[in-house]
Order: sequence, then structure tokens, then C-alpha cells
Amino acid sequence: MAFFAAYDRHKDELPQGVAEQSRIDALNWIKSNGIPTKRVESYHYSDLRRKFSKAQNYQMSDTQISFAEIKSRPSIAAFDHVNYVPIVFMDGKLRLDLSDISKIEEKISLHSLGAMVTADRLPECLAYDFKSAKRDNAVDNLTRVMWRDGIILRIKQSIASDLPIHLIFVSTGKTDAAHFSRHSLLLAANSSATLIESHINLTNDVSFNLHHFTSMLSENSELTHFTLNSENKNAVNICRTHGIYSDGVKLNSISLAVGGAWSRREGDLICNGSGMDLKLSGAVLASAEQHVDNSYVVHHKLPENTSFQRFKNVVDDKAHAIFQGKVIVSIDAQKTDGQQMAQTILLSDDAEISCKPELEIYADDVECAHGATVGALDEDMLFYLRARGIPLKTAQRLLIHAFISEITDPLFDNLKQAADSLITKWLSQHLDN
Amino acid sequence: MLEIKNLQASVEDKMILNGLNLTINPGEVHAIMGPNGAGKSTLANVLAGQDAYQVKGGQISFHSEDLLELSIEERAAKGMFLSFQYPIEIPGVATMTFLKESMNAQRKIRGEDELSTPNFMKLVKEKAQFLNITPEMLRRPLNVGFSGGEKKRNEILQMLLLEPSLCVLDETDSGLDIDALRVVADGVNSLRSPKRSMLIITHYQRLLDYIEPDFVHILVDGKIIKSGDKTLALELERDGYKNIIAAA
Ligand SMILES: Nc1ncnc2c1ncn2[C@@H]1O[C@H](COP(=O)(O)OP(=O)(O)O)[C@@H](O)[C@H]1O
Ligand SMILES: [Mg+2]
Repeated sequence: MAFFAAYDRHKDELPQGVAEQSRIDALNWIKSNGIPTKRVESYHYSDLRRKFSKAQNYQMSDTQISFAEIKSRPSIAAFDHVNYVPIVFMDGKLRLDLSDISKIEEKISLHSLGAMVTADRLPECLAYDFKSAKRDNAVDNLTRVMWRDGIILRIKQSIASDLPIHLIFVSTGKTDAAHFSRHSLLLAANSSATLIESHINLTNDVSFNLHHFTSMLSENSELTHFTLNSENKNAVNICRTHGIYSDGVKLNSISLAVGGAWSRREGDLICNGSGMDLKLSGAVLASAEQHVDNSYVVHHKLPENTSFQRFKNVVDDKAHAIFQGKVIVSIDAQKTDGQQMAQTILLSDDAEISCKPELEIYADDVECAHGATVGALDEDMLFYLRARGIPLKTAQRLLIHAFISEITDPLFDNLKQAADSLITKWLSQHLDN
Repeated sequence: MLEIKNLQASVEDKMILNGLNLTINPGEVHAIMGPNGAGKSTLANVLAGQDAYQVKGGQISFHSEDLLELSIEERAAKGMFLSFQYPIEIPGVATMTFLKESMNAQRKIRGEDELSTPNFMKLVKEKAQFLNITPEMLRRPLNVGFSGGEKKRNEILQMLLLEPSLCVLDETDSGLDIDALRVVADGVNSLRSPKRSMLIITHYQRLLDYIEPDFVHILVDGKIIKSGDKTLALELERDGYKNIIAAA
């Protein structure tokens, strides 16, 4: 397999040290399990092996570029009115030279995983991540084999919500370049922060990115996390989150997909405490032959947690949107409230949605529900708007925007405006008068 | 202005309008009365272009054009306005955004410049005040959480802003208390002009005390069975539909 050959070719350039054994363990996992095809249930709609067969070049590059150039990209310029703290991760490497955390320096710590492992200075809590043996997930293992770098971001004290940290993931477009990264996000107890995560390309070339995030939210921490995929029409992007959450955590995760060729956001979110409120939501605007997959498993292990997965899809042309949501309620997790909702508007006959909400419940006193709707735009609403002279395309735009904005509404003003402008832009490109 | 000849229309393969004739000249106010299910809303919807209703025969000319050839939005831009019997709630679309989009869309189709935001705001504020529509209502999504009466007043607000040439009011009086009825009637009357016509659909004679029609038509089973002046409405109120139908 090209992947094993690539590993042999590149292993000497990769940070080893504490990571060495975990790379070997992970490689062995891949050797015995293979990269999942659609026969593996959780990848049924997203055949990872087929995507991997196209990734050939695992060459890393260090492109010279200025932050101004990144900032001027339309999808990053959309955030111009958001007073963000930029952290740039480009072509598989943390770029401190393009990042500027001076505004919140005393409240966070930021490190490169590669540099820490090379210097053998990895904090104990992360070193543990390399020791624990059983990893039953392909993206986890693939990134453990091949990672070159990752962001280690630690929020030590609360950061005002109007000062979000902006993780900007940039691919510069060496043809077929493939990048594997492992990131860690840690929120200290009682801290709160807002995170923006953007994925963009600088060219129209093919890019292939696998990101693994370990997200540890300590007691009573609060995270608002807005993710934007605005990659080019040749980009493959797979992001996995392994979330470990403690008592009283509040998570509000909101993703917006307006770009990319083939993308999948997946995760296992583990409630290791009580009194949590987890909101996991996303808006997908897909056209042409785009493939956009959101697949999450929420593990309610302890009592009295609330989780709400909510995804809205607008699918045009021959695009395919996927939502797989699973709620697992362990026997001890009484008083769990786990909800899932997927709503989709199909704009063309060839557009496709695959929806698979699942519940696996072992406790008896729980409230869990899931729902899914698929439809076209409401004819009566369209008629009402047109009867006031609003042209059909504009009426469609207004209704789609209204449908999607329910997802982005909870964001704070300036960030919501940024999200709105990205949605408006997509709509005007896809439904012009 | 409007000339309907032998109009036949169906909904879900059920014939509703069975050869309806009606001519409305500029400046005239016509009232259509009729029992439930007679086809009044069907007529209103066919005029506005709702395609759930199929036109099976007949002609409609509007400002000397073939109305049935025009799209819904073209009809609106040419001055057709339907005040809905049941205005739709549209969550997520702000009332102000909607008002601005519709005013500017119509202006654009007519080749006029867009309204500036301050001019638009001023206009809306003035007309809303006239109809007792509060700024708080205008901040809500379109018709969401509005009472029946508030929805009807919101329809009239749109009518005052869009200044159509033909106002079709479908049971605008239903759901209105007597004070709101007066406010709405004042609004409608303020639009009366020699160039503008109205088609007032109602169940009860009550509204016609406030908006005096030039002609009254009685619609039964998809046909106008009797026409007259405003005294016909009083006659109907006195004798009931049954007697009028029996006499016709
Ligand atoms: N969308 C519809 N689907 C099926 N039947 C309808 C629909 N709209 C109206 N009708 C039927 O058409 C007839 C006329 O309705 P309508 O024009 O609304 O009457 P009116 O407004 O005079 O009370 C009624 O019998 C009604 O049930
Ligand atoms: Mg009716």
C-alpha cells in the first residue's frame, strides 16, 4: 500500500522519541485492520481507502508567505471585523512566525507537538496520549503513524468571547501533498474561550489533510468552537475529534461547510462527568460533486448530561451530504438527555443526503430522541415572498439563509456576521438571479 | 384594469371556479361575498398566481396584458397585491428585510432606483404607526408570533408600502376586533384613488360599512350569481345566502 511505502520513505524525517512506539503500534493496527472501506459501518458513506488510493505525495513543504497574504484570502477576510488571535498551521506544521498570540499571551500556552517531542519536553498528560495502547479508529491510527506536527494549545484562564483564537489551517497546494497532524486542546477548569477553526487553500491544487484533535475540557470550562471549511474544489479534509469532557462542561460547537471536495468531520465525545451541556451543530452548503460528512458519537458515561446534535444541510447539483449521529448511554448514565436532529433541503434531483441517527441506550431513566427531515423549500413561503414581487431566486436565497442561520445564530455578533457573509456569498454564487 | 372572462379553475382536480366573469375599472371598489367554500380564496389565489390552483379555461387581462402569462413576481410588480386570508409565518426572515427586499424588487422590475435605507426606514415607521404596528413587531421574523389581527395589519402595511394598483383583500376583516377593523379600513381607504382598484372579499357585511364598495357580487359554487350596488350587501345580511340563492 502506498501509505506504508510513504511511511518507510519519510519516517526518518518524523519526530520520534516518545512517539516512536506509538507510530509502530498504530502502523500495526493499520496493517491488520486496513484503511476502512464502505464495508466498515461508520465509514459506509465515506470510503476512506478510496480517498487514500489517490494521495500519493507525502512530501512536506515550508512555503514562504506573509500573514497579510493569508488574511487577504476571501474566506479569512470574512473575519476582518472579528478581533481574533491568529495561529497559523500550514502544510502540516505550526507556523509560529505567522501566528501572533501577544494579546492573550499570559492566558494561554502554545507549542508545537513536533518541537516538544523532539526536545523530549512533552507534558505528562500528553505523553500519556502516546502510551495508551488501544486505539480502534482509523483516523486516530493513521495520524499517529504519520504525524509531523500539531498544535498544543492550552487555555489557562478565561478569554473574552470577543477575542477568539483563530486556528487557520492553510494548504499551499503542492500537488497531491498529504499532511497528517495531531493537535491537543486543553481548557483549564473554570476557563472559557472562543475558538475559530478555518480550513483554506491558497491554490486550486489537490490537497489532502488529516487532523486529529484531542480536546480535553476540564471542570466547568466553556468552549464555543466555530469551524469553517472553505477549501477549494479539489481538497480532501478529514478532521477527527477525541473529546474528553469533565463535570459541568459547556460546549457549543458550530461548523459551517461551504467548500472542499471531500470532507469528513468525525468524533467520539466522551462525557466523563455530570452536569454537561454539549451542543454540536453544523451547517452544510454543498454543490457540484462535493461530499460532506458529519459523523459523531456522543458517549454518555455518567448521569445528568445533555447533548444535542443538530445539523442542517442544503444540497445542490450532485453533491452528497451525510449525517451519522450516535448517542450511547451507559448503564450509569441516568437522566441523560440526548437529542439528534438533521434537517435537509435538497435543491436538485441528483442531490443526495444520507442520514443515520442512532441510539444505543443501556440506562432506563433517559430522554433521548432523534429526528430527520428532508424536503424542498416550502412552496407556500416561496409563494408569499414572490407575491410581494421578490424574484424566485431571491426568495430561495432568503429562505435558505433563514434555514441555515438557525445554526449560526448563537455566535456573537461579529462572528455571526462573518458566518453570514460566507453563507450569503455561497448563496449568491449558487443561486444568482 | 382587470377583466376576467369565463374563468374556470380547479384545485387538486376538483373544479372550483365554473365560468366566472368580472370587470373592474380603474378607481372602482368591488366586493365579493359568498358562503364558505364558494371559491373566493381560489379566485384571489388565481389572480396572484399561486400554482396550486390550475386555470382550466377562460382569460384574465390585467392592465391590458395576459395575466396568466406573467410570473407571480411580475404580477406583483405590475401592481397586483393579495392580502392573504392566512398570511404565512416565515421564521428566520426579518420583517424589515422582507419589506425592503419586496419594495426594492418591485422598483427594480419597474426600472426604478433602490430606496435608500434612511428613506425606507422613515416610510416604514410612518405607515406602521398609522396601523398601530409597534417597532418591536417589526423586529420579529415575518409574521412569527403575530396574532391573527397583527398578521392582517401587517398585510395592510405591505399594501401601503407597495402602493399596488389592484388590491385584493381576502377576508381581511376576519380576526380583527372593532378597533383594529377601523384602523385597517382607514388604511385601505387612504389608498383609494381614481387610478387604484380594489377587490374586497368578505363573509360579512360589517367591513363594507367602513370600506364602501361601488359594486357587490355574490359568488356561489364558483360563479357570480348576482351583482348589484352596496345595497345588495345589506339585502344579503337581511335575507341570508339561502334566499338569495333560491331567488337567483
Ligand atoms: N389547497 C386545496 N386543496 C384542496 N381543496 C381545496 C384547496 N383550497 C381550497 N379547496 C377547496 O376548494 C373549495 C373552495 O375553497 P376557497 O376558494 O378557499 O373557498 P372560500 O374562500 O370561498 O371559502 C372548497 O371546497 C375548499 O375545500
Ligand atoms: Mg377563503
